Amino acid sequence: MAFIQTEKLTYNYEGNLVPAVKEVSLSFEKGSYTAIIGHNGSGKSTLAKLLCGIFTPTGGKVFIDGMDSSDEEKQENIREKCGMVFQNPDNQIVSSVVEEDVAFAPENLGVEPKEIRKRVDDALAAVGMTEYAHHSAYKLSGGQKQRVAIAGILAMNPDCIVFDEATAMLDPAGRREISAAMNELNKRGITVITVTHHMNEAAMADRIVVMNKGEVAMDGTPREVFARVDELRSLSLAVPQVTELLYDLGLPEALHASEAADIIQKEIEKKCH
Amino acid sequence: MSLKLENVSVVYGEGTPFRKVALDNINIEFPKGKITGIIGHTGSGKSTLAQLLNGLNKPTSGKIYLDGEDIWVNPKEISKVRFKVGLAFQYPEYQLFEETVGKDIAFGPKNMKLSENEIALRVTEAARMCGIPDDSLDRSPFELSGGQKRRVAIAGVMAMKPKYLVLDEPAAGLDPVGKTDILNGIINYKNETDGTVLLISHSMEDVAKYSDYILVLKEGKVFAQGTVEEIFSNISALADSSLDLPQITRLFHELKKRGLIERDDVYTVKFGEKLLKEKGIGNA
Repeated sequence: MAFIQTEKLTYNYEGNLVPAVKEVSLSFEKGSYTAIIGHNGSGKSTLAKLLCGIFTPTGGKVFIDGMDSSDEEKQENIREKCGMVFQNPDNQIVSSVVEEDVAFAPENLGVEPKEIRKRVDDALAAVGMTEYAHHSAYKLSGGQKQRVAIAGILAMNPDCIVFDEATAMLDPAGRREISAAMNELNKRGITVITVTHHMNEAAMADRIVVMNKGEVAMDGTPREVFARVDELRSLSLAVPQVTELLYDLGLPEALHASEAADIIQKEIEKKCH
Repeated sequence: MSLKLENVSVVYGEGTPFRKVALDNINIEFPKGKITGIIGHTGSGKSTLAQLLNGLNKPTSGKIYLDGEDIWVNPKEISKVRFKVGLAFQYPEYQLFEETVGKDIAFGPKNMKLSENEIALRVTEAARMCGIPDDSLDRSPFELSGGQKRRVAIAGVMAMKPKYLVLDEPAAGLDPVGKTDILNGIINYKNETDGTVLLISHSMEDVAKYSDYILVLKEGKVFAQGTVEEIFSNISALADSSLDLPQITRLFHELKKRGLIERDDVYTVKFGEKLLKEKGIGNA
């Protein structure tokens, strides 16, 4: 069984006629890096909350490291395995000092003080916030607050972190910081799942799942998904600008500016010969 | 008739170790009837600027002229400035509070002590410009999606028909469709009321697409100002300002560097396509 596996996963908000997530079956391998995209109301955030066990399904199942998220007795174990970073950096800080904030979860888990010290130091180093350990958490920038939130989860030694539009409220510099942190975590073997509106961020993942009306509309590598420009447009999703340009010109697809420059250079050189 | 800043500086925490110059000697006159995009990093002074324009914050030094009058000449009259300069904050949907969408949009016009008829008219008008369907007006704003809530909040500011509309990051955190809906609403407002719009954004892509004029702030100073064409024609300066250039602009910057193309002032996919087609690249 994959690290996270869903079977006909369904979630219906109370009083709604149509489920937000409808019979979704997906699996996420350990150490994988997946972006979930979709327009507002496509069910992507609901899916993310189901994948880390914050919501329990109203139909179907989610297994996280083999544990059924509907099983109340397993919930504490699931919380330790899988953490979530939310959208608003201001809603996730619980202590006034950065390192105390990061220590909050392991303290609650009853971890030994010595071990907590070590975990807090490691976690802050992993997100590049070591020098801010004694700073006031409230005076940090949005990107820095999100990195502290990530460190707080890392200090639990989780296997998986789900980011629910964690960069939506950040400026471009903050977004770059968080993308870099995601990459770093993934290199350390942590399973990363990120819900995002930013296609350039999605392009950094190994896999993209496109949600529409609560169902999986596409599932593949960024290259595979972004090659389907017309379909993405019909789902009111944008593709990276250079992908759009090359698609409209009928050239091979590219996700990044430098890659696109190479393709155009080849075309121009072809013309000259 | 204009909105003008003269030698404006704002200093926070004067006399404390946390002293910070948020705006440093700013001089600008916002072009009337146009959309001016204001871009800059976090901490560049964008939001401080927004708060100055409708008198929420006072300049430490310098003057702000609204239609030729110094807005702080008579501080007791500052509420009049707020009816002329409407400000939509970041994440304005958190400020919705009324029972229905219609009542929420009507809150501003009511404070202006307009007649019932006029209020009703303004609510329908603002709702239409923002693409809020009539049958939503009786719903609770809290039943709406994030993008819809944002439109209601912005409609609430538009319903006061401010001559100057200032929007702080109106499209932040929305998906591409939600973004287009909001920005189109803003264009409708400009076209229908002949109002002047200031659009504060982190997104160079949005600013390039929707503004007529651009003001780039850096560390509290004016780094550059001009029409969209002027700003993008000096691409290397922009790249130095460490702002995120649109991906398409970065591509053409790279192509020019490689000596493959002459122009790099490209900020829309359409224009880029046109340039390459002229070179005979891709399908005609």
